[in-house]
Amino acid sequence: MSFRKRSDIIGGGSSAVPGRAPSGIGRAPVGSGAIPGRTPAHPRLSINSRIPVEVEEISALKNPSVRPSLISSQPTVSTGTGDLDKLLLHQGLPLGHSLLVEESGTTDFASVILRAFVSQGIMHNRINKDQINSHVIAVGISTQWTANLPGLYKGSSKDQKKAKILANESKVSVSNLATSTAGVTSRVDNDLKIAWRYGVNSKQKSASPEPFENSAYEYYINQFDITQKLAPGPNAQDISFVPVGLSHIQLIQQIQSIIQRHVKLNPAIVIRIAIPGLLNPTGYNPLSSSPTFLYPFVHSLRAILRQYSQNVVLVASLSSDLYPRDSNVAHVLESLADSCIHLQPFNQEMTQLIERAYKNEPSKIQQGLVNIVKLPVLSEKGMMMIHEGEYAFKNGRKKFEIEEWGIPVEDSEKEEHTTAEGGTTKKNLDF
Amino acid sequence: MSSGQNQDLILFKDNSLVSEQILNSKASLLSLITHVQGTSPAWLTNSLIENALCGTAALVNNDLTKKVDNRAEVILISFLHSKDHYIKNCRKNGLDLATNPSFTFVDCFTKLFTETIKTPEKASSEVANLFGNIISTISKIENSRKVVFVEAPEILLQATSVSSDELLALLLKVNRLSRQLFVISSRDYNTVFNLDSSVSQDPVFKCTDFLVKLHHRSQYNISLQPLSTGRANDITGSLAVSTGAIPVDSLIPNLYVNEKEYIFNITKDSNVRLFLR
Repeated sequence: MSFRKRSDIIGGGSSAVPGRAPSGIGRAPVGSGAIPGRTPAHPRLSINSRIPVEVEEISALKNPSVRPSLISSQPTVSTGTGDLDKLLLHQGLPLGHSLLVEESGTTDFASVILRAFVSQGIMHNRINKDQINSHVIAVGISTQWTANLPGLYKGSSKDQKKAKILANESKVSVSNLATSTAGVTSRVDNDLKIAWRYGVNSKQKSASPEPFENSAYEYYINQFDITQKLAPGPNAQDISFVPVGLSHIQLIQQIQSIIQRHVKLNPAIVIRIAIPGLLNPTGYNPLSSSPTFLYPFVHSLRAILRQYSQNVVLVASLSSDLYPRDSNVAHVLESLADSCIHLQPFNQEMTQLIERAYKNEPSKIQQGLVNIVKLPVLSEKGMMMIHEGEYAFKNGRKKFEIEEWGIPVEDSEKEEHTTAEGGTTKKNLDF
Repeated sequence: MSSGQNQDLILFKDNSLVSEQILNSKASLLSLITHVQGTSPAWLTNSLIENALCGTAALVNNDLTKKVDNRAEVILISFLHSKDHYIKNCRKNGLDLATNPSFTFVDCFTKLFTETIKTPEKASSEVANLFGNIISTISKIENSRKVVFVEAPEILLQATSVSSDELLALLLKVNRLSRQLFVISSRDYNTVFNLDSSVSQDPVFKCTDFLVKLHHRSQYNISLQPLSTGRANDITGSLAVSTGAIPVDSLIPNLYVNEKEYIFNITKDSNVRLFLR
């Protein structure tokens, strides 16, 4: 009987990964060898045993951007959107798997997810200056698309102001030296008093940290701010662009050669393939939607994902207005993808209702539904993972949030009374 | 629901899945396993592979406990998954397909559209070559007790210029070489199967035509569908076993399909529970 947590790696992981030192008591230092006194996982399992931990998959866990899936222990990477990672149940997208984001309407929330996915890959290259942990392959888009990649979230405007003040105070200047002895301490005391009065201190203590931040996987996910630009922008080591031609074989060969080149240099590298706006007429030839081009292309991408199952993940987006979910194109793409979500922005009436219901709490206003069509690994095993109308999303500066959906309750309007003349008044008139 | 209500999955009235009578006969049976989005038949395929290889079906039938080594040759032709997928998933059934001498995997997935079929617009000859290789692989196996699985052949109809009649002709050649052929195909309404479609080049028309003709040629069929009443946490979907257009007993006397409908539930650790409906 083992009391090890599901997310812990058995006989895998490496303390050699920067910043992934054993974080807590009870976490055994792990290396490539087996844990003393414990035999390696046997390939043949009894019928009632758990999903096996794959011994060959552990090499991918040397990458600081990879952690084991909470469900299957497969190496998993973050999509760059924390709530989406949770929605996928694996705490991310397992390596060798793909995610299709379908979106109805004329909005472009899918690009927020895609941009965070790309930014996350680039951020993983900035953990150590000399270490390339990740590479992005952007298919069918221009370099212009990456100019708007979101930067890191630096806190709220209040936090940023405080940080600026602190930075200024730490500088050596005459005024700072004059107030250094008494002034600063009294201000801190005042802050504390005010904080105590409004219960800020207790809030800080009770606020539970993000699940990833205090764990051994501190580089696994970053929080992005869509109003900030990623600076410095991606360079040739971070991202490659593959234009879409009319030969699926050439396209696949190009992608495959980029993967091979990077895997050769670093066998534990994570390659993120991003295909924003698949079949969007602005970037794709009309003939690209022909089944004899599109299906072989997507099928071959699936084959690449399986071939490099320790290195490659893919996220693509598709407009459901151009290719509705009840069309053959969307069906084939869904069946070839390992996971699929459908973003369904609210119509005008629903938006107005939510705005009325949350007029005093604008931060609670959601923008649409997230329907789950497929989830990695689980759907393939035969589990029914279709969830429609159960989750909603809201896109804010701070993050793309996904939460459980509930129809907001509108405050009952004050009773209006009709006067004898046919007018209305809010006062109850007794005659 | 308590585990005491669990039912065993049975396809024939002799309480079997892949019946011994089929393997001993000289007939070639054809069966269709159809599914829709949300009811992947991976667990059923794995159980049928297990039953054909060693006679047991640990996940779906507790009565089939007698293990028979090398019961039949299993040839799996997949257009959707690699061999690793089956090796991993069949471990739950106690099978090690990587080393099992009676298991042959024909990979029609990894290099299908990069090496095997390079011109999907004119793919008839390339598809014929592909099936030529499959047929020669099956023919090389000397044991006559062969069970063949073909997974997702509809991809050829959707992605290439091959017509449904061409594919049917090739599949029937494969069928003649085996005692039992299982064709696993998706049958999502409107997106794959739509009887109103009329354009002969339309993938939906081709898939519909293919499935209708296969149903007319089959001996028994298995259909997996989600609950019509909507999603439930403790039920994944329903499984219906039905006789095809050509009855089994017309080919193999005294063998009758056990026409039943089950509801099933798959748990996160891939355990299967079946209940008669």
